[in-house]
Amino acid sequence: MKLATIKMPAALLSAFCCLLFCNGLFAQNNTKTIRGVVASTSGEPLPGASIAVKGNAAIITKTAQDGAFSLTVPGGKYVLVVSYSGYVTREIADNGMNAFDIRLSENPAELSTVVVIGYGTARKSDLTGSVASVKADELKAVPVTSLDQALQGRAAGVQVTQNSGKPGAETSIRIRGTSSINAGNEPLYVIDGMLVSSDGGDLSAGGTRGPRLSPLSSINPGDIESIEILKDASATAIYGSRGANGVVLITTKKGKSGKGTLSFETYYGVQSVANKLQLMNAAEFADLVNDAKLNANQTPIYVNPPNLGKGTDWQGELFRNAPMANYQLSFSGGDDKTKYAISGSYFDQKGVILNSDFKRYAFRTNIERKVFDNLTAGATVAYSRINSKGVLTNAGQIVPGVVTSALLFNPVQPVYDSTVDGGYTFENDRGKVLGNPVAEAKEYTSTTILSRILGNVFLRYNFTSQLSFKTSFGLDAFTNEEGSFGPNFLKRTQASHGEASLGKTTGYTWLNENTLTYSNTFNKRHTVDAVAGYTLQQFANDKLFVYAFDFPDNRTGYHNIGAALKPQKPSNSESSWSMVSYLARVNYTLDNKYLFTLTGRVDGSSKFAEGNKYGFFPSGAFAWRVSKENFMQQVHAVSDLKLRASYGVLGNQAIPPYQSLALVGPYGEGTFHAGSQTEVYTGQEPLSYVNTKLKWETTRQLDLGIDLSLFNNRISFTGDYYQKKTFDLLLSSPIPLTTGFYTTLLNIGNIENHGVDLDLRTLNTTGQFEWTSAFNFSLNRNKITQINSETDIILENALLMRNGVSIGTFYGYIFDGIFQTDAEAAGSPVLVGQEASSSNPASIAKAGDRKYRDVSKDGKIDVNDRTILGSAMPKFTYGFTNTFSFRNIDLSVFLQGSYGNKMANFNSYDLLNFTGQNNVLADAGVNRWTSENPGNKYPRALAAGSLDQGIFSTAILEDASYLRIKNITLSYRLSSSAASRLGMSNLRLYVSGSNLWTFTKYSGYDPEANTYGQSTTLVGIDLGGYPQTRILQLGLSASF
Amino acid sequence: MKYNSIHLIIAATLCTGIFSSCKKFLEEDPKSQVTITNYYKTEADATSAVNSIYAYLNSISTGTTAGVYHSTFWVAMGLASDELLNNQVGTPQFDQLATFTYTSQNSGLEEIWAMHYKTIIIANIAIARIPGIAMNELLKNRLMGEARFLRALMYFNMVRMFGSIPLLVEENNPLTPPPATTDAIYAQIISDLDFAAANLPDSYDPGNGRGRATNGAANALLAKVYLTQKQWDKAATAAKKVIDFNRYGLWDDFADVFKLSSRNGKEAIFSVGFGDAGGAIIFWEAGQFQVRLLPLELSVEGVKNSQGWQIPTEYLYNQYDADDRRRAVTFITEINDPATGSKTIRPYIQKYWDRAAEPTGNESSNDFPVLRYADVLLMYAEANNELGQTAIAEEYINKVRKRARFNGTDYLPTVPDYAGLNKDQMRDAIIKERSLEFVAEGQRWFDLARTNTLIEKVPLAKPGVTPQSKNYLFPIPQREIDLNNSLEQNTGY
Repeated sequence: MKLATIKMPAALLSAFCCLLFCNGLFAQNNTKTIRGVVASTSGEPLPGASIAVKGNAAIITKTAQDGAFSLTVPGGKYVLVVSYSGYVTREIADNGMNAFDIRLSENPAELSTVVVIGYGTARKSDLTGSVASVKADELKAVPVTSLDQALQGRAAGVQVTQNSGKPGAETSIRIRGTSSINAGNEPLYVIDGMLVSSDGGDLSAGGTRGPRLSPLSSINPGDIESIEILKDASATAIYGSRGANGVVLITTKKGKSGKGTLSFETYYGVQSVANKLQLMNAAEFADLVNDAKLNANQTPIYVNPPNLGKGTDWQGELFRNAPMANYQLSFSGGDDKTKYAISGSYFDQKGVILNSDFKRYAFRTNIERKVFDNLTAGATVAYSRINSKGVLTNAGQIVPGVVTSALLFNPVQPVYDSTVDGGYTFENDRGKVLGNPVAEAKEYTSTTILSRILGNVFLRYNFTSQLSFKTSFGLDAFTNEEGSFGPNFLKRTQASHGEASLGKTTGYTWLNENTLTYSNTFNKRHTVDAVAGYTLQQFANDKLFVYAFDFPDNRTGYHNIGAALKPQKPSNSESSWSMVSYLARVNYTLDNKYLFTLTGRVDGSSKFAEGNKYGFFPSGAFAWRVSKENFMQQVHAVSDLKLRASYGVLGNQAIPPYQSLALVGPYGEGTFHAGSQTEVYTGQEPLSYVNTKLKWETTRQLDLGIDLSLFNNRISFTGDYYQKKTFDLLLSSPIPLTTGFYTTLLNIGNIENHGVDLDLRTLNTTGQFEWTSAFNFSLNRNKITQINSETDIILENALLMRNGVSIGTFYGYIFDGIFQTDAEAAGSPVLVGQEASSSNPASIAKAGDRKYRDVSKDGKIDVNDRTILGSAMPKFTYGFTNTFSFRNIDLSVFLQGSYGNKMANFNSYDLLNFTGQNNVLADAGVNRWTSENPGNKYPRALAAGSLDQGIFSTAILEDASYLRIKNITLSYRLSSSAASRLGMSNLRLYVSGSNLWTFTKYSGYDPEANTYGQSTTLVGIDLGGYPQTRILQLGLSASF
Repeated sequence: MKYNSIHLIIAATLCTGIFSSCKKFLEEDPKSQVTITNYYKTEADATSAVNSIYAYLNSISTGTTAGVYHSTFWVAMGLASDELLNNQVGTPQFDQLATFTYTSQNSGLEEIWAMHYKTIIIANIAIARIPGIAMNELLKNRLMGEARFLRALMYFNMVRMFGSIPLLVEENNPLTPPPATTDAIYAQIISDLDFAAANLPDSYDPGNGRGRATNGAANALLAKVYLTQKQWDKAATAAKKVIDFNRYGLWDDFADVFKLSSRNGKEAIFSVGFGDAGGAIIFWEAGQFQVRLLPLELSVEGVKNSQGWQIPTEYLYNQYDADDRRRAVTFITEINDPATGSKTIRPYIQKYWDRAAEPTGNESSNDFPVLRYADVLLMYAEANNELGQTAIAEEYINKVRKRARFNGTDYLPTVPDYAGLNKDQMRDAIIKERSLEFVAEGQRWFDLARTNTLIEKVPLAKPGVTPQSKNYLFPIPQREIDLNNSLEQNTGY
């Protein structure tokens, strides 16, 4: 370290000396010596970069370990050509100063770029499968809590949905569509070779309120060097039964031999709710309540509505501007034998909802040493601790979550009421059962503390230069503690009189992998790369959960559960699974033109019943490097052209353990009384409807791809067509209630996804002003091709599963406007009970009620009039990044979007419900149908409620297409010379804005809302989720 | 390190890996749960299998937490009659029941269907498994009797509400069972109840089973089954059997019937217990009577969370003689605000509220009366009246009537006995007396349906609401029709 700080400025200082004192001297000679430093855009020196003078091949030099160079050039004007493998070549004109601070940007299209594949690496040119790479620079652009968020819009075929704006919340990732229904659809995550636990359920301790934390949030995004996403069967088959949903390979930063680097990065940002909903104010709402009462022949409530003014802005009371900050210190380096990288970071994010936050402390050490000539040993140890507070959003039991409550609460009521316990207004006084959202957010505490350690050691032994053996042992261990406490004065705790819970989960997965790698070239024509291995993995966790009710004293909360008057039975559980796998892959290349890959993995899993434990997952691929053929040599425009094809079989084993066993558990309890004497009884019963005929699901995937680079890699294009067919889908399906259960796992049929991934990168201008663009486009079509159900399966009264339709198909009534006259209503098809002859006069359809289309044309509106209304699946998604560099200034603009998907805005069941029980959208409420102000969109106010309450129709289904300015970052790099004066090798300052603007017609908080999180079948539903945030930040990164 | 030793280590690693027993490594052994193959083995298992049937009658631990008698069922039977009105916002299922506009998509009816079948399935498991357990034969027969009684109770509710429905009596049933005839269902009910009557004990000791099904309960339910089937002589015989047990009686004062101290007392033949046993079990095991029925206005008297969701019809309130003790006990019409004094409100139902024992209302630990002795007396009267024994009918209806005139100290002449009625008048008197006696006990729709008076009676209490003949059965839930093609919807829905 010490050495480096001295060495580096020394080179620069000498350059300065020349600048200040020697300039005139050199200018008079025929030649002059120029000096400079070549580094990556992130400031890392690039040793071995070549610097040549254009038009004079003889004058050339290479940079030293620290990236410095000097070169003697002829007098007069000159142009330098600076190139480095994997980076965009730059031409730099004589700046008259003879000192250069040259930055090269990475060129992902460069074919010699090495990408990580499962159990090895490969040059991009040698790939036969479909692999997308995302580099650290791209990941850094958007401030994220968790790396899964950073993938959004970055790679074709990868759809990332940010389900919630809660700090650290889970995302939902779909690689090439939804290929499973019940078993998970989330990809497999592999960090530096370690297959980690990424199932939120495995980590959960049961005490968290609101959305679960992403298991990936414990990994510091700042530690990541690159992310590779394996998409097709050729790439993922090496992961066998866990490959069907794609694989995300994460490589963390390693040290490089050469000088040591110390770097410090920090940013500070402020988040705010991107889009508040416009609701009625107190005066408007009071008028609505009175009107609703009058229409139902009841007495109005409010004497003089206009006097009530604006009242309480419940959203304003619940939301806040919240800061976030990140600090990271890292150092890395190495020599011929040892490489190391060490980092520590602290991340602190407050949520935009009161009392929610996320803090992470993360440490990582990567070290590798050549112990003997033939033996290398290495270790990775990463520790992180998350401390996060959550609030209950989404749907809730007893009362809804805080966001829904804030939207619906009576604006006439104040937040605080000093006359009652706790000092808060207790509940909505207009009928809809809602607790005070401010009280609940502030007083209902819910804390998660997650500690996680990821360790991995390996030994690699080279028998010969062709054959090597690697064995590794890794452990991913975690402890999660979740505590929650609701004091006794909240609406939610009215029945429990105060409630507390404390859950602890500890668990681990260990993985032992043993692989032999062989690579050789025969007769200069035949190249063979092979890997074969054997792995063992085991997962185990145990959970303990205690809870209690009735806290006379609110002060100690969940920290003293014993203070409760009514402690409940504690519960605990254990679960584990294990896997044994054999894997092999052979790459064979003929003449550097024809590439063949055969891959296979045998997985044995404890999750399946005896006799079904083992599965074999093979794949094969072929690629043809057309550009290497002789006939292409004259086509200079084409730098590279490769055609690829692959086919394989993959599995999915993301089901909980013990599904094949019929379990009995304690369930029922109750009391018998004899006068004042009470006897408690408990019972045991089967916990599920066991389907003994369950089979496992498999996916077959075909991929046809093209890689094309033009004009010396200035334009590079990758396109893939794929087809994924999944068989014997498992679905937790509704079954007749005569079974005693609502649902069970059934092999309900087959599903098919096919689509196109396109990725286009261009280098638009080079030189002083450099402009690059990256565009990706994903299109996926999903179809249920077979379903073993005689009747439609309808989920949440809105989503249809039927042969021939896609997952996420909305099914319901067509809203056809508003009846304008009583006569029109009387003469039209209406819901049963709304007909003029109805025995209940209050429910008869009248002017101002909603009209529905009589699809079945039978003169009445009933279940037969439901029809397909649209899909939650986008027609396509895309990401578009432009980066501009001019001198020391970089600007990057990242757009991302989705087109053609619909959203069931379940909030509208209430927000468009004019019974006066709860607040409603301002536009809708003000423009509700009245005889003076008849409209065709919103119905009349009616205190008694219309019979169409809860009916799912196009009235609440909205277009959720969007285009989002996801991020704009403007950064300024100090020149090396200026930086060195500060004792630094690199200093970058930036301002950035995320989620700056969203173009959408969607009326809710966010068109990405996804209330049911990672659920496969319940998609496109928005119900009171944590809103997305807009972030403005300032950042700095410095290296020494 | 020598190459040889490295080779040795590598070889050893590979060998131990590949040749160690993978079979054991992949075996599942859930330590924290019991599988069905090693359950139902002991006497305790048998008892807990039957306990879990009872556990579905009160509250449960999933979804709405509502078991069969939690609320929806008895509220629905009151709303779909001349007894109750719905005052709970945001519950279209109840509005529809109260106004006879319900359809097959009514969520309340779906819950009733789901909970009854769940209870039946749990009972079927007990009935299938218990005979194979080596245990005390007397206890075995008792537990079988309890399970069969409870199954009969569920089927009896269901067959009356929905008519021809699947009759499942085995542990394993087809996924989409066809419906059975109502005759077949009644035959099964009677067979279950005959077995229960023969094998259940007279009674249980307090704290040691008091509250479980007895032979008295089986006979009382048999009386009701036969009454519904218009088998008057068998109904009379079964009811008389219960009367002749001499174990049951009426509390002298109607006000004592719903005291906590009277739970499973002399008038209770079969009840469902609610309450959290002082916090020993989860709070949602508490009853809903106070939350649901007491008026919001009571909050000024320190009562918490009284919502007044379901309220009696004014018509019902007006059917009582002014001095009828049952009117004062059943309804609350006056609020005493410490600040402003007393005020009169419309009638709300307060009979389940033991104010001295549970002064702040909210969770109730009261029992829900499924069968009580007054019901047996009125059933006996009804059966005899239909058999032409009007004098016996008069004798027994007046036993119930007599108590109604007791105001706690005196028997008031202003609530007179019935006298000199002919058969039709007596029939009317009995159906009216039942409405006065069993308010909010989940009886009214059944009584009106059994006596074919739904269409005639409801409009008297709810002007403009006109039930039709289809309303003598409820629609089978649409979810069930959708998932089971062998079912047929009831006529008119």
